Amino acid sequence: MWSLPLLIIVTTILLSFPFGRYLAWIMDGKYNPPGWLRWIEDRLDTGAQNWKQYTVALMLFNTMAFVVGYAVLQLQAFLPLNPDHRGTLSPTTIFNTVTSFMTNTNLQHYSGDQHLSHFSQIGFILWNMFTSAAVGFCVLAAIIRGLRGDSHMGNYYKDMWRVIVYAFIPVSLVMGVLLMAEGQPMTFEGQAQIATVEDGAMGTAPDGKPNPQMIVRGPVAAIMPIKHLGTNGGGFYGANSAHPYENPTAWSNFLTCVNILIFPLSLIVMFGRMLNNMRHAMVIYAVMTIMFFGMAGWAIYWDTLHPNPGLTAHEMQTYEAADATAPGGKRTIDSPMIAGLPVDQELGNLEGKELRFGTSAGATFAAITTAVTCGSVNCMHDSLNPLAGITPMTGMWLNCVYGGKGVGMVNMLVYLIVGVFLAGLMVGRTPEYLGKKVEAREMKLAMLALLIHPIMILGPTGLFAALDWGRGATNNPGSHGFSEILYEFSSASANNGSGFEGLGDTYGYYDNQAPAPFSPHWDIATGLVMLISRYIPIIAPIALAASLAAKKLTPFTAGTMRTDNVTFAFVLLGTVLLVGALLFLPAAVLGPVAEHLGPLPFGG
Amino acid sequence: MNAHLRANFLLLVVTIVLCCVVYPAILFGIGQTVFHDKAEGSLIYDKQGKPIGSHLIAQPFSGEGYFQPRPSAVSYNAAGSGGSNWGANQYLLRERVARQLGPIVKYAGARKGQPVGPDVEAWFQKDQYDGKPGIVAQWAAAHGTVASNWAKADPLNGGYVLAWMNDHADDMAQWKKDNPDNAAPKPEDMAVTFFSSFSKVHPGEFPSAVESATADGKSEKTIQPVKAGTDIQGIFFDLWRQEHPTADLEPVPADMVMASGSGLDPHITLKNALYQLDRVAARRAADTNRNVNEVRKEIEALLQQKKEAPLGGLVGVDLVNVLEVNLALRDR
Amino acid sequence: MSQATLVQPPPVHPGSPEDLKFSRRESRRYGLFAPHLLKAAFRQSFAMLRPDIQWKNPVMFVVEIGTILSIIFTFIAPGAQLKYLIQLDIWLFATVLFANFATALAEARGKAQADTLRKTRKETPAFRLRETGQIDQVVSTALQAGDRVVVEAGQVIPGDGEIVEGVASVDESAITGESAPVIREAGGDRSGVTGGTRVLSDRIVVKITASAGKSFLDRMIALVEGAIRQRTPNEIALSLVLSAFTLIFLIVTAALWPMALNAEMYMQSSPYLDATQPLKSLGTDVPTLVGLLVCLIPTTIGALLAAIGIAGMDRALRANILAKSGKAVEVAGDVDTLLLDKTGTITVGNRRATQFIPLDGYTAADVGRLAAMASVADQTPEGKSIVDLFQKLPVEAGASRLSAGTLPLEMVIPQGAHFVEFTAQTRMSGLDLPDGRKIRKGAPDSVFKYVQHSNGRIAPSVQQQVDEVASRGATPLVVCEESKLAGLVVLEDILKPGMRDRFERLRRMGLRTVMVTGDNPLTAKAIAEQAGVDAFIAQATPEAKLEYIRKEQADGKLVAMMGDGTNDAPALAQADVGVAMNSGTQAAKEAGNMVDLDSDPTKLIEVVEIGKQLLMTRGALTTFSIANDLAKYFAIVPALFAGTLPWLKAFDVMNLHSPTSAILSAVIFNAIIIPLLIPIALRGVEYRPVGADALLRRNLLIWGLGGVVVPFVGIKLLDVVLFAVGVIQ
Repeated sequence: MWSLPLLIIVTTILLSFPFGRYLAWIMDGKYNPPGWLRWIEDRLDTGAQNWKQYTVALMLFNTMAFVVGYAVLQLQAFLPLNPDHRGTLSPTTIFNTVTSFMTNTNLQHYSGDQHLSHFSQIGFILWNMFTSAAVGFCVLAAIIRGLRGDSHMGNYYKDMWRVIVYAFIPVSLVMGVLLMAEGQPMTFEGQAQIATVEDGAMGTAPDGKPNPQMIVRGPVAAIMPIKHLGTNGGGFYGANSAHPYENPTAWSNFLTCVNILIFPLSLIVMFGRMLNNMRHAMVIYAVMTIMFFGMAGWAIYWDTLHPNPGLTAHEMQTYEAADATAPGGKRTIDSPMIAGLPVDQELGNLEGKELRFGTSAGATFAAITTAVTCGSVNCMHDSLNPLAGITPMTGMWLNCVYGGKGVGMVNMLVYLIVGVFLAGLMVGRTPEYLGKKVEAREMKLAMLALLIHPIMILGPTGLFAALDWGRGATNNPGSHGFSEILYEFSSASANNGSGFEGLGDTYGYYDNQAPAPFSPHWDIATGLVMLISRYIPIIAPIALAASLAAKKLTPFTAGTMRTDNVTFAFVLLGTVLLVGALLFLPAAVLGPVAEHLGPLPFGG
Repeated sequence: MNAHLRANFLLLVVTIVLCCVVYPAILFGIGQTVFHDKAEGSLIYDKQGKPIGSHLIAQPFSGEGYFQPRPSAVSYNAAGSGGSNWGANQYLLRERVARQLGPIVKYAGARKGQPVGPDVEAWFQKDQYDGKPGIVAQWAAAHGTVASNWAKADPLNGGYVLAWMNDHADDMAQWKKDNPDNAAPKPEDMAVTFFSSFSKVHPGEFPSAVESATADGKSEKTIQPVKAGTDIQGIFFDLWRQEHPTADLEPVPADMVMASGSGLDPHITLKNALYQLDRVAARRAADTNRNVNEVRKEIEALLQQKKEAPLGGLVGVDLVNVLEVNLALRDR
Repeated sequence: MSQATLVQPPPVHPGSPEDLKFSRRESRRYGLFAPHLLKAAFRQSFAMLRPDIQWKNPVMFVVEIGTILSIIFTFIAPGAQLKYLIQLDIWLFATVLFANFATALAEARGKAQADTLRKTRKETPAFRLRETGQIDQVVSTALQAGDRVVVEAGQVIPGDGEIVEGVASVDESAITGESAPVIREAGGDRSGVTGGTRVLSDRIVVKITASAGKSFLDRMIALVEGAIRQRTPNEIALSLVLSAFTLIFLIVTAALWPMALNAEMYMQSSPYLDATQPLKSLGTDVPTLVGLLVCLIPTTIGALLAAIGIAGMDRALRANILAKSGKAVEVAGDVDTLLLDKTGTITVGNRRATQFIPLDGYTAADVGRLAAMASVADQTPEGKSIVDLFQKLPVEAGASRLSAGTLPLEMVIPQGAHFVEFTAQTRMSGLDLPDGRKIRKGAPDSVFKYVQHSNGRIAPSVQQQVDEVASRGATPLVVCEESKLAGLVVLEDILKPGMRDRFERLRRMGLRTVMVTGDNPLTAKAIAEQAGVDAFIAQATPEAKLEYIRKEQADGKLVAMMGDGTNDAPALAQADVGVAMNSGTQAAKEAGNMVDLDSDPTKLIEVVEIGKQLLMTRGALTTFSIANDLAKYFAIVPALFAGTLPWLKAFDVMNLHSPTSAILSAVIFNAIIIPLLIPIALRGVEYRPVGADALLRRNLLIWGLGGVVVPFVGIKLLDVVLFAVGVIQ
């Protein structure tokens, strides 16, 4: 039960120290590459960049990535490596998908096993998984250089090169081999046609012949390592890491979890080493780990240790609703008594879970994947018990419980600045972070980065919840339907990509006669949310770091607030939790909490 | 800006070459040589070399002589994958589980081992629910979505409703008056009205597919009002349960009635397999005219031999791979 | 040293610093609730409702707009009961008023002080001295910078300026509140006079340095009235944070409306729950959402922010410190290094003679007599203390050559003796007796040189003795008779009591104290150790001070110093916080960014504390304000959806009476917390010099955790009380 999450987190923490050290070594350019690599690296190096140049380089690269990605998906039907003859996706789906993978979100309004060719999987998905993940990584490196007062932010192209060549590709190769050993396919063949053991088990065709079982295969093992290492999360298959080909065994599931966490955790160590302030980094590490344990513990408690309440017995409840139009201002709403179904749920809620990963694997994975904005899933989040659904949402709302590689630390930095500002005032000095005074400009940038996330989640959620756009797309009633809408925008804004996947947001092929009715609305809305929530919250902190870099270093005195002790850990934890709660509590109450407290089942 | 463009372009080309050509090529090479079978999808072939399944993908089994995998929200279609995505407050989830439970649930306690199904049928035939007559009408009214799903589920069902719609012009006219927005109602729109009407005409009966021989000797499925059968045991189990909340029933292992995330989970728990063991053994014994207990023992030994647990049992309970066990059963 | 001998020691407050603080606090408390201030503030808070004034405070502006919106909806399309809506409107309106009241009260307090000051700025007659020597009478307001005026005993000095001629005792109580008169004289560091003060004796000529309307007093009045109050950098940053939070909560609240609509729609279409009739919740009621918004946005700190800033200035003023800007006070909180003059700050006034050490053939009394004779003409405090010490010697001890002690010293000095005054060149003073004997007293080096010059011999042991005295922090003077060394006079610094503790406090606050002294390094080191300062600058020249400040600043440190002389001006200007003594020269006052009206050298410490308190108060109230929101959610969210999702009642941990009472209780709590916190905003959060970490823990506990807990209690209490008295239902 608890051994799986503990095993995962302890292993990853142990690995993160040597790994983080290696990453700092790479990003500080202390390595000496072989000649041909050096040759390419020198071609890429355009010299030291200030924050504006770094940002321009980053945005330019992303723009080009958008164009290339769009071209690949648009031309899918005409490109090679398409054994199953996948056609052209609808324009809005292409926009959404390109945006989604470029922004490291990997929100999927399509189903990989039904809609993409092998060429798209390799040429578009795989490539974006490497580069978009590297972007977040580079941003963190640039910000660290600013925080430690370097005269420049580094060189974007060189940083990208370092991350991809010295970090992502080697680790991916190792992981790819390990995962293939567990059973992940690595083939360019099309679907396998299976004659079932029982004739007609898959039904019969109109001509009376038994239907075969069709099994989609592909270069899965190439995509899986970076899907997790880069906290991308876009599944080769619709069921993502719940699919037996993406995640064949408990061991592959364990490896996957470690893969998801390893970079985000190592980056904290890298942060400490590059800043030469390990104590501060360890405080952040501890705070994140505490929050992670909270998230995972909550999910396991409510999902693995509780049965699915939809099947259990419920007492009759009479609620008094305040109603101005009823006599006495009160109206009663009865929730009838429900008898329990004879289901032995000792393993917890099994709906949407795979058995081979272990009992608490679904809840654990849900916490991991949303803590670090991966978005890969090994169980269907939509079917999590109501309160357990809070865990993935919280992960995405806070977006800094480790957080995506690079981006999580950057988000934490924003909370840090807010915390430092308020707490710093309380020691009677102008707040300082790492010896630099935090003043109006820094706060402006920090608040800008902080603002985007709640606005991009709550605004569109409200809009869609009130209109048919949202209500017409949900496949669960009442508060759970609301949760699906809320989850979708949380996922888009956090660049997570997981979903309460019951939401009808798939249009499919361009010539689809009966697409999900509001899928274009979802494509466009989440696409825009992903773009805004990706770039503003990384550009603002780069500017913030640059602004701090330019400041004079204030000496440390007994009157300075320490950022490397237990008190500060509480400040940070308090800031994240308080701000998070204030922003998202009402939404959480209307979604999962209302579902949990309200009648189960709800109508139908 | 020129330097930017040049470096950007170079980065683009270099990363495409490395990430999309070199890296997958290496993995493809290793996969095809070192892990060839796995790389091709862990397929299982029969003696003719035809693929008959994959170790990793659940295959449906409906025969009583086979163990059955977990229910699949995608009907075991491995060209797609996914879960039901139904939350706890979705009645359809409860309904799906109840429908599956009805025909298999047994009593515990004093009547241990006896199936509940016949009791459900007997209760259904009395046609009294909540002190009022008309179980089917009440069921359709309370669970409109389930009723209309019934009409959608099978062309036969839809056709039956359509025939009713053509025969009941006055009911149709009334419905159209109440629902002015829908000019051309489909059978699923009419399901509730249909069942209400059906309930009056056929108290204690439910329209169900019945196989019968046609004139030319072929078998044909038609919808007939029936008094018993798995449909009634399944569909009305939840209603029966509401009127018999204290009935002492033996709980069914959850993985037997709850769908997996992928819809392709190849495993069931050992507990689930043992629950199914009686049925499988009885059928196998009947087919081969052997002693049930002996067969049961053999199959149990097979299960024990085939059982596996995640990470050696550290993180989960004992499981068996349904396809592997069933293949072993078939090949015995 | 050109210090005038007649000068009285700077006014020192009676009692310990703690006493002082207590009495100040008492006076503040009285001032806070003075009825006339409350009345003025009350009136002003209505005047401040004008949108163009509110606009300057975005948080409260949002509240005002919200209130208007709420009132409009109350009467145009009331969604809920009218009685509830009207109460809601009233309390929303009250929130704005309370906020205005807080600012107005702070301003009124400033204004009251300004008024007292203004009384001293009455038009007074001025006697302008023409170039020609003629004197003509004009009114003070007509004076221009550069004019010279004559002020006689009993007259009021008509404007700020410097004495160019004469010495006078001046009653500065109008500004400083100290009744003891002070001496001001031309040509020294105490030449500055302030308009509105009264000359008590003598006649002086003052060169006016500030034209009418730009005087010290004018600036002070303008400052306290807030007319030229500019927002400080930190305040700007904080307002930014507050505005951002306001924006965020605007989104949170605005998004609740469609979300509530969603709940209404799915509840309405739920035949299962028999809720086929339309259900309506307060979640789609605009005035209620405005109430929620007002509860969430940081109104507490938003309302008090201006008051805190004004109160910071006000507190400085009450400590008799005149800051030239709010920024200066704020920066004081950040100071890392304090430059403190030894004399007057660390030690009491001046050095005193404490011991006569005889050399070969002399007794202590001999040395005392000779030293005293050589000091008769030396009017420096040191000189006087030598005479004092000699006169206190037991008679029998000094009886050998001269029956000193019983007679005034002048009487034993033979007629015709010639006094040799101290000069910077000789660094000796002395007496040439009629019999030709020359008695000299002075710094060891000078005297040794003098003795060697007269072919005297200096025993090596003498130098040892001299060093020994110096090394224990005392200053040795050497007395000689012609070429013969008679002995040593030991001058000792008397440390002010309690300074060690004070420096320890400063150290815990994270401040480094640097003692500035003209003493030699050996003495300086000893005193530095005794006093417990962290560092010292010995043989300090103005240049050395400036150099030191620059060096510290290059390390990123902020430096505060106090000074009075013209030659301190560059250093005062360079320092981040430069406090000029009011008694100092005009140049010093111009250079610094604060003026201490008490001319009390220990005031720097207080300045730092005020600065820290200012920042702390802001941080504490902001944290409190934001932490408060959690409880309000628990009150309001279940209430909002009581009409549609009644099961959310389980989320209402406070178990409030009804949805409307929950919302009103939260809104009322939010409103009345503002006036309740006014005293803290004006007085400031208590500062304790315990180091950043302990301070942070304490404040987090009180304002963070307290901020979370207090509203739970408060809202519940309000709900119970208001329900009991029937205000809400």
